[in-house]
Amino acid sequence: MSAAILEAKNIEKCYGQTAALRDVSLTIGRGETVAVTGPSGCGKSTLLHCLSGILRPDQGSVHFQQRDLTTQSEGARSRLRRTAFGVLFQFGQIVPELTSIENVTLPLQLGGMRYRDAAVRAQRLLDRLGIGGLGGKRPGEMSGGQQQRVALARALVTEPEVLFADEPTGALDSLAGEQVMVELVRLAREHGTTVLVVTHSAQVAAYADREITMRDGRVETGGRVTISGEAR
Amino acid sequence: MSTTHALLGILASQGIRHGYELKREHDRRLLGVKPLAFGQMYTTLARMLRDGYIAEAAHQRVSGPDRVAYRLTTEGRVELDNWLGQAVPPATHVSAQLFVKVIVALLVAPDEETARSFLATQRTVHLERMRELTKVKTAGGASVTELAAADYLLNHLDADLRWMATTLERISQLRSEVLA
Amino acid sequence: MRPTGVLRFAFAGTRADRVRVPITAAGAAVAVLVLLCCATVMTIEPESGRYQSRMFTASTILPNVVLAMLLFSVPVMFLVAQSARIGAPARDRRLAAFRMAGASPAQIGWIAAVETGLAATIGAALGAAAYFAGRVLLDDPGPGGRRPLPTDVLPSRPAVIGIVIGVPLLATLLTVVLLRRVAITPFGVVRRSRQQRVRAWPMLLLVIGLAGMTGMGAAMHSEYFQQRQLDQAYNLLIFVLLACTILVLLGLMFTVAWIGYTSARLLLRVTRRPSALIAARQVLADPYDCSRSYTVILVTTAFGAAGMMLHSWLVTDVAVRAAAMRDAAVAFGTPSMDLSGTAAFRSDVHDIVNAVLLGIIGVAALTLLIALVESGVARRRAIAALVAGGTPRAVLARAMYWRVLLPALPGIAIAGLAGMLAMRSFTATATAGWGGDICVGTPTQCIGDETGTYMVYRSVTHTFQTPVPWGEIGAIASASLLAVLLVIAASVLLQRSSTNPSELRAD
Repeated sequence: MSAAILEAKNIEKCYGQTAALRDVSLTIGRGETVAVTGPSGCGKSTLLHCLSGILRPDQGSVHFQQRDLTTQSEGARSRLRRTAFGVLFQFGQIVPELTSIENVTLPLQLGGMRYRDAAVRAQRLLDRLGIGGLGGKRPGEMSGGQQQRVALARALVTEPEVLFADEPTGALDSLAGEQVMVELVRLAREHGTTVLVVTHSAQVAAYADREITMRDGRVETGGRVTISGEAR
Repeated sequence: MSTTHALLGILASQGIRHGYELKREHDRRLLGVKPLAFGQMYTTLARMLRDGYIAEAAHQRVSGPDRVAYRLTTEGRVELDNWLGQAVPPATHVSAQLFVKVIVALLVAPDEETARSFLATQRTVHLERMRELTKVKTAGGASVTELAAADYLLNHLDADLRWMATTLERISQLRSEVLA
Repeated sequence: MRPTGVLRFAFAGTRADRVRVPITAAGAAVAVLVLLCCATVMTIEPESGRYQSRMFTASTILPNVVLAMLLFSVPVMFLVAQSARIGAPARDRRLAAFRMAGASPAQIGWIAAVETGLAATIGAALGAAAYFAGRVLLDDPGPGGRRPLPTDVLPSRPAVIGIVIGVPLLATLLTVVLLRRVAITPFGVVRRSRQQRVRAWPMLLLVIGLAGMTGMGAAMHSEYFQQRQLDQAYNLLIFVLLACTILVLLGLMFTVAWIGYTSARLLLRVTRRPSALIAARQVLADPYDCSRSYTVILVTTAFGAAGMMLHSWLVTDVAVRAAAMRDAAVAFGTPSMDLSGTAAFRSDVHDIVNAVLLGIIGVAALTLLIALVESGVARRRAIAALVAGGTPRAVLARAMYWRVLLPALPGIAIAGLAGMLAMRSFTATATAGWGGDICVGTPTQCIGDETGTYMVYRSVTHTFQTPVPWGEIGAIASASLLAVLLVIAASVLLQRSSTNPSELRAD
């Protein structure tokens, strides 16, 4: 395995009285595709939010390329998410009033690229994903699978180091889900993108190189780091 | 049995075929099904001839042994349609080795964690197989029959894993039942 | 469905629903209160001498007070209509979910009607209670039995009952009528396949309304009207005036929708910066929705500008009359009549109007805030995903400013202008004059036998142009703009809390 790109050490996160993550440690290597699985409410979405710097854990550290995200300001983490990370959620994430191509150009423009150049790049990616003809359509005019491919394009258009996907096929039927996952894995492989996909489905997890299973806010198997005190 | 119907189906979709071609098509289209042995195939073809489902279309002597080509008869077509029209009866008895093993594992495991570790090993093996099957999809260029075969197995393995997870959640209930 | 069930479902709503109920009640209360006051003023007998203020006694002023209050109830009715629509998309979805669960359209209608009706009835009761309480509390017969307010007269019983029942009934009817379009999908996903086009022709309503008022103003100044008794045409004039007012307000709404639409398209042509892009696309997606949210603020601005113009005329009127009297005083050698009382009275009225306007702007800002929050709730997943993807909050805040100001800024300007022009139709000039026999000879000649020769009838008419009170209209527009800016700032803050990552949770 290549060097670690993302490393969580003993992170804890509580929502009020409920502990969502308890002493979670894991390492993810550069270019790996890793699935985090577990039953509903096991803390896998919270883990994704902490690793991607959307949430700041209450304790522990998250290192991305040797930098500790937990000590960075919201502004700095926001910049990091914009440049180095891509995020893909279950549904409802693309801006309903914008056309597909405008949705995809957003992250590039936020990085300072001119609309014209960004649109060219976005169009190329939409073509790759087989929805090149839908550039002028709004989310309401597309099927769920097409919308999710637009969202995938938006997440990958900046060629991020890490792609975080939270139940990316959760709202799709199996064939549409397969299309999204196949494209996701292919594009990630081409660009050497590290992928962390959170899912409850073993079929989605099978797209990943390895699986981390979670239970009750803890890593059950596959965290790759032995921590003293963790149950078996 | 289904070998008969598989061969009938191949003849119906592809017209006149020699025995060897029939075997090749059978193995190619029904990926994951045990490959057809020549001996078994010729017995089956003989029975099908006897029942009037197929007829010899032509003899060919290319170099070496006789090669007989077969064609589907009307009776064969009727039989095929009948078979397709009948639902496959859902299994009444579970015969899978996995089922027996998991239940026994749950019964003998001294505590929940041990049971989990038994099943975790099974999950690892299952997922490994699922990964191989998924590679067929991500590699690209796979035929529809290949994808369908992979999907069939993937869905069954997935069902196994989901069933294992659910059963594991029932473990405490199961133990109290056994001890009662 | 049993009545208890209807009640339970009627109030089983979300945050927006819980806000709508008190706002609907408050709107109905204000409307009932204003209409009751209006009816009270209408029942006052002129020249009774029972009140301190000339507003309620002078037979020349009283009809104008009645008219002003009638016009004032127009924005209040807009407010009631607006508040009944607060949170309506969320409620429509909730009711659609009831329909999916097997409720019949009639049952849905009942649920919505009970909710709005009950809220409006409570509001109407509160408004009526406030009115009757005010009558008692503010009743203050001074030394000469003269009261500051007409607290000793009551409108006729049918009028009171009509107002107290009519307002909630109207609000309920409006709700039920608008509910006919309840979306069938319980998921709240409204599929919009094509963008709404905004037509320019409804802007003509604004022009027609203003032209109608100008025509009326000209007619009233014409010889024909001057020579006849105006009383005969009075009812007709009021009707035309109300009709023109409504035309102007409707035209204002359409104009603002068109301006928002057009400027959003222009903006897209000029820049595609993310904030501008998001804002312009939002305006284009539903231009009427945007303009609807600002209706009350725009209407208030228009009325405010009209009020300022009227005040300017009143000041000019005092000036022109003073000038006319000064002439007369010089001519007759008598002391000039003191008009400072009139000026002070008008200034007091002006202050009251200003205070009321500010109050309405406040309420209008509240409805705008709720409309913005509501649209934010509908798109919170998309916004939360943008934030998760690293979109700076500042970009989203700028998008919000763009989106609101794109139609609102020109809208407020046009509303101010339209209100001013409407009032200016009647108040462009102020005229006063005097006439009398003047002695053109020596005093003895004038009181002598040949008085007729030396006394000559002279009349002088002064006409002053009413200055356009740009400063005051600007102040009203600025107040509206300030309210809008505050609302945006508040909704940016609220957006921050409503788009936390928990919105993105898959399980």
